[in-house]
Amino acid sequence: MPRFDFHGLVVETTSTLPGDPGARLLASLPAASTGPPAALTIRCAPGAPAELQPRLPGPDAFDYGTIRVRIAGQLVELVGPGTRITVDGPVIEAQMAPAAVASVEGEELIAQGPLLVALAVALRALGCYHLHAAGLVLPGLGTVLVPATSGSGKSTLATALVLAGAGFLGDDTLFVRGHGPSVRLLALARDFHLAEGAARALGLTSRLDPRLQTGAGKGRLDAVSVFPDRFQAEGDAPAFILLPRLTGEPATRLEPAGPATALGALLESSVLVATRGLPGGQGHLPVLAALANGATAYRAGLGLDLLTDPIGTARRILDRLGA
Amino acid sequence: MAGLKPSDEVVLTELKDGTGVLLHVGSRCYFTLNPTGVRVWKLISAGAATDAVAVARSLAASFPEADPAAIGADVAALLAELTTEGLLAPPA
Repeated sequence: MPRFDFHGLVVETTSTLPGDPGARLLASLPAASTGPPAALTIRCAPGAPAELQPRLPGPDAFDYGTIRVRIAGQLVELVGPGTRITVDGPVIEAQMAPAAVASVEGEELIAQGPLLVALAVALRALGCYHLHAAGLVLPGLGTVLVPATSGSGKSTLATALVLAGAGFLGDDTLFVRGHGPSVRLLALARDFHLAEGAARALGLTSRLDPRLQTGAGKGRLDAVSVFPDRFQAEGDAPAFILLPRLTGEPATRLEPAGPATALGALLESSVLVATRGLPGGQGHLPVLAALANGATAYRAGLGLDLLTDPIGTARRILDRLGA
Repeated sequence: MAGLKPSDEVVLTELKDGTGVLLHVGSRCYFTLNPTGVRVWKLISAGAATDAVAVARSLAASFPEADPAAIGADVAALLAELTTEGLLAPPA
């Protein structure tokens, strides 16, 4: 039975499918020793079409793209294309249409989609909160958090900063844990997701995985392999929060932003923080407030120079943050 | 606008610079407040002021140099927006 070490929590996976989507999701984590008991278990099994329909009464608590989430007491149900997953405390039970996970692409889509959301729900009850954000480590400056929704230039900015010398925790998925000054950012390494134009501008088109695309049609970059020794599994509470937005203007600009603006962006990047009825998570909002209070925030208006001169633009950002 | 009270599903998070963020847990809508807005929210949530006139009167006492009419207009606009966003329960 595969066992993974998620920042001190043991996560076990089992599967009666030909593959193991849970193990695929957690593949970047170190193996856990056989000693400590599992904090979480992910069980994957084949499901017939009738078994993949919602069983909890509606309405949906929220929808996450094509994933519908319903809640009844401690039980959380996620239903997406080809899969139905329940989270019951520390146990994640996933049923999947065998055809949906018959290919590497299909297994990857389910692992990085509904199964990741289910993991985020389960980890929330253990005090680890999912953030849709990039995390970078700038030599001499500290950790930078880039919370943003899709299409804001987050991955392009993150990759440019890595090319300019930054370490990274990830380009769009992080977890945060802790209280006050002990807040830590936790990585779950995944491929970076780059649009075709961004990959071309960054000189990385040839490094994209030719077999896989994201559900949004972006290319996948195995950043841990492409940028060896830059990946960091954990980071300190961020010294800076950058709030990216594509402007179409010639030059990228940073403008100071207050902690309320930063907290607003963190809320937009934390869909689970405000889901009525979701079990656990009493510490979620205070952790986000601690991040906003502890960092210096800037609105990052990303200009065309990020595509014409990505490394130079990233260096100018680093200079500004260090000034 | 009398009988003001916060929605039961709204949480205020105060920040180090005196600003704050209201989060509506049901709708996931959030609303940023400047320090004066935070004060208005706390007056209402504490029950110290239950209508726009009382809120404006309390603020005017703290800002004697400010035009009371302007304070009243700003308070009325803020309370109307908070009500529209579902952060304040509709007046009875």
